[in-house]
Parts: sequence; structure tokens; C-alpha cells
Amino acid sequence: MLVSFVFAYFGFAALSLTKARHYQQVWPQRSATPQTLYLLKTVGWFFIVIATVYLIQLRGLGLGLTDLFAVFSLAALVLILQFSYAPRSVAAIGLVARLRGQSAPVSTSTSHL
Amino acid sequence: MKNGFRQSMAWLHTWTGLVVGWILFFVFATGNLGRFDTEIDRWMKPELRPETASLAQSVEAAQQRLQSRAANAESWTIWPATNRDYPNLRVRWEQPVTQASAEHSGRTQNQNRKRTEEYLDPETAKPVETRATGGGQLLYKMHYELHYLPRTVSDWLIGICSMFMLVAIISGIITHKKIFADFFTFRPGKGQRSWLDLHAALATIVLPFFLMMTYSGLVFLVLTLFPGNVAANYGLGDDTRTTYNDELNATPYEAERADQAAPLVNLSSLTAIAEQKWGAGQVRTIEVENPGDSNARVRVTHLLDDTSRTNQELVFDGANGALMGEFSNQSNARGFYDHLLGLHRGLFAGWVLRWLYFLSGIAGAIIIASGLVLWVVKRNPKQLKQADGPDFGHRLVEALNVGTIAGLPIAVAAYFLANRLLPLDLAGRGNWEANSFFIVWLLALLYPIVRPVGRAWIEQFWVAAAAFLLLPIVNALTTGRHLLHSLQVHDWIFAGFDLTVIVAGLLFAWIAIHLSRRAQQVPAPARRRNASHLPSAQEV
Repeated sequence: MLVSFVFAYFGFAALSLTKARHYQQVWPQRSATPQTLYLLKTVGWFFIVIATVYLIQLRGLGLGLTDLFAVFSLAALVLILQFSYAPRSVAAIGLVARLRGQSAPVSTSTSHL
Repeated sequence: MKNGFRQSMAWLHTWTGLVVGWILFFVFATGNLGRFDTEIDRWMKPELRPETASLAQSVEAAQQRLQSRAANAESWTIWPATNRDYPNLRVRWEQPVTQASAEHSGRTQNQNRKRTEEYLDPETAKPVETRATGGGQLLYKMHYELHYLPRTVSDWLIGICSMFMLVAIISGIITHKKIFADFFTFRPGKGQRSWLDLHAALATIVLPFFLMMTYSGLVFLVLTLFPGNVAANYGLGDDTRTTYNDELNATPYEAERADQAAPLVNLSSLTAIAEQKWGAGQVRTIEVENPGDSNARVRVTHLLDDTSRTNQELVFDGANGALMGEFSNQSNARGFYDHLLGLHRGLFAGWVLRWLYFLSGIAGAIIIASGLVLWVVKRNPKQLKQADGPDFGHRLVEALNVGTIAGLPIAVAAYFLANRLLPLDLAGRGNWEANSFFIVWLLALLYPIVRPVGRAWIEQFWVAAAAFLLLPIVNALTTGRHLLHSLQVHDWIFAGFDLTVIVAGLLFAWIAIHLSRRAQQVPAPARRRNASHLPSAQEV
């Protein structure tokens, strides 16, 4: 369950950063380029699907989905608390996006995904 | 009602939520404690100790006790100590009450059996005396029985409230315009905005749970709410419901008493066969029908580890020990019902999922509470400007909010405290525990009448904090099993209970401190009676 929590958390974290408000909370000076958004969205959904497949593989369809919703709730709750009280702490996951996608002030040409 | 679809839905959401909000809060809070019903039971019956006896030893002790105490009973049931749900060896026997009174009161035999239950010590086969208490089961049952009401009334009341809740959830989803954009958003310290964020964000992230609990809760009551289903197929007579239930729960290999005495086989030899089949530790119950008769039947059951709680049974002839057959109560017709109810009860959940269920339930209670508070916060600016103070309705909602949201936790603590402090020989002791709960809740509801609402919030949260923090102390003084001792001997039930109530107490204290700080920040002119000192969302 811990593994699926990690997947769900990273998935949600990436997806949350596709919202302009939260992106600004993490990097006040930057705004996301379309490439970054695309990357975040892909990575986010990828992890969500991985978490889902993983739990269903592990526990069967019924129990897997039950666990999945519980894990999703917890992952989202952690993110909400992070954004409310320590937004910069979400940056860890965002780093991935920064390394790959880059954000507007630096360059837009290095994105190659 | 206002024009426009979304506005209409917002109106619907506001008012369906408000009228049943307090009952729903009670239902969510007490039902949620039921996630740990067995653990609370263990805490409330400190006479019971963790068991290590083997299955064979437990079953032999149970058979010995039942043979000497209930040889003529109609049926026996034995629950050996096996897993979380059954931590202690327990037996039950059912005896028909005397023929005359059975005929006198008429139809259903089911209602004319006398059930007796005992906990047994597997070492000595003697009953373990426990204090009279409703335990965790009573607390958990409150959430649909409402304790004082007859089932017919409480079923309808809960049914109607749940229906309102379902309407509130669905209209709430429609009302929530930015459900995806605000998925992760909570902005603390901004008054009404924060309350709305808290309400909406929590409701969004636990929505699957919330919807499932409400819907499956309604499915529990389906026969009450839709009586026509049974009536259409079984007619309208008095005993049609009994016929229906008998057919629904019919089990193969049932046998009438032959009235020929025959000694019962050694039950532990049958459970050994079952363990060979299912593996060690898989036997859950042993049921004996017609013990001591030549037509005795022994059913050894095993529980599948999934949401449906399907039983597998081995049926033996009780006189010669022959295996008659194996069957499972699973059927497609019941599958949907069983799975939904299984999800609602969550008995299949392991420790991690159980805690997540519990946290989701707390989130559910906070959603309801924040909705109720939001109703007041939203109307405060206008209400407080009125020359003769807020309307009666406004003040009523405020008072009910204080008495329920801050008062109910005090009542729960009172229930636990009563368990430790009421004299053991008090007549009707179990009832008095429950009465303490409701008396304290009633006082909490009345308290805002004599105090300004802002003060009442703070004071009641302080009382809740004190009551919860008192629990480990009172427990240590009355049972001698204090937290350090529990940790040392790895008694996770007692340690877990102590730690949980300490955390709860600290949380309530934190809320109280936060509210007091805020009350001091409010400028003097606004600090009159009924002025809003409602907390900003970040305290909850």
C-alpha cells in the first residue's frame, strides 16, 4: 500500500502543478510553458495509472479499487496540506518537470519529450 | 428558490444539508468509532485478557462448558479467538422459551428464543465475568439505532436523513463549479472562503468514500424503505417477512430433532479436519444444531477474505462425525447487496485500510460540520447588523452547531469515563453508560443558551480536551494498565486507545487555543453577545 501511495502522490503532485495557482505557489517567478504542462500531465496520469494497475494486480479488482480510493484520498490530503502551509515542499516532484520541461524564462527549445 | 440550474442546486444543497446535518454528524461520528468496535470492546471489558490458547484447546473448553451448562439447548455457537474480530473465546446458546408462552405470543419462533452468551477462559473452561457494558458495539449501533428509538422509527429516520444526504452530495457536486481547478486548494485564514475551501476540498478528495457510505447505508435499509418488494412476492400477511427471511437465509442440511439421545462427537476433531482443508487459523465459528441428539449437525465456518464476507461451511453429522457436505452462502442474487454492505462495514480491512477508513470518516464528519458552520458564517454579516440581534433561527443553528460539533466529542468521552467510573454492581450499569452519553450531549446542547456562542465554542472544546486527556489517567487509576505498561507488554489495544484519545484531546485543546486567540483579536465593539467568533477554517 505504501508503494501505491508513493505512485498516487507523485501522480497527484504532477497533476496539481498543471494548475496555474499551484505552479505559482511553488515557483512564484515563473509560469509554465505548454511543454511543461504537457509533461506534467503525462507524468501525472502515468503515475495514477501505475498506482491503479499495481493495486488491482496486487489485491484483485474489488479490494484493489477500495484500497485505491483510500490511497488517493490520503495522497490528495497530503498535497492540500503542503500547498496550504508549505508550498515549496512540493518542489521535489516539480524538479523533474524543471529538469526536463524547463520553464519560460530559461528556454523553451530544450524540451524533448 | 433562485433561477438557474446551479443556483437551484446550491439552494437544494444548503437546505437539505442543514435540516439533517446534526443527525448526520452524529451518525458519522458514532459510526466511525465503529471502525474500532472490537478494540473499544476490549478496552471497555478490561477483564478480558489476550489469548494464546490453541484452537483445539479453545474448542474443547467450549464444548466442556456448553455440555455442562446448556446440554439441552437448541443450538450452540462457538467463536474461538482467531483474529481481530474475535479476540476472545466466546460461546452462545439458544434455548426456546417455555411452550406455553411461545404459543401465547404466537407466530415467529425466532423471537421466542433465549440467547445467552459467555466469554470463556480456555485454560479452565470457566466463564470470565465482565462488567456490564454496551461496549464498542453499542456505540457503533447508535449510528443506526439512535439508541432510544424502536427500530421501525430509527430505520425510517436514518433512511430519510441518508436520502437527504445523498441529495446534498449530488447537488453539492453540481454546485461545485471548480471541482478540478480547486482540487488541491485550501486557503486558510480567510474566513468564509476558508470554510468553503475546507468543505469542498475534503468532500472532493473523499467523495468516493462519502458517496459509497451514503448509498450503501441506504441499501442496508432497502427492505424498510421499499416494503413493496417483499409484499409483491410474498403477500401482505404478518409473517411474510419471516418467510422471506427464512428463505433468504436458508441453509442446506438442516435437520429436525430426532429426540433420540446421542453423544456429540469431539468438536476439536472436526475443526482439525477443517484446518487441514483451509489452513491453520482459518476456522471462524463452530455451530452446533440439536446438540446431544442423534440428528445433531455441526457447521464449521470459514470466512473468505473479501468484501462480501462470504462464509464457507463444512457440515458434519454431530453424532458420528461424518462429513456431510460443503457449501458456501455466496449467490449472485445476494452478491451486489453483500458487497455493498461489506464495503460499508469494512470488516475485511486490514490495519492500514482500517485507519484510512477511520480518517475518511473523520473527514466526513468535518465536511458535515464545516457545512453547518458555513451556513452561519455566510449569514453572519447581515444577521449581526440587525438592531435587535440575529434571528431566532440563526441563533438556533449556532447553538445546535456548538452543542453537536463540540458537544458530541464530550459525550463520547463521557461514555468511556462512565465505563471506568460507574460502580460495578450498579443496576442497569450498561444502560447508564449510554445514558451518560446522552445526558452529557443534552447538557452540551443547552449550554449555548446560557453562554455567548463564541465563548461556548471555546469552553466546550476545552471540556472535550480535558475529558479526553483524563481518560488515560482514569484508566490507569482504575485498571492499573497505564500507557507505559501497555507499551511494555505490547498490548496494542490499550496502548492504541490511550494514544488515540491523547491525540484527540490535544487536537481539541489546539482548537480551543486557536479560537481564544482569534476571539482576542476581534475588535472590542464586535465582541458583543452573539457576535461571530467562529473559527477560521484552519483550526479544524
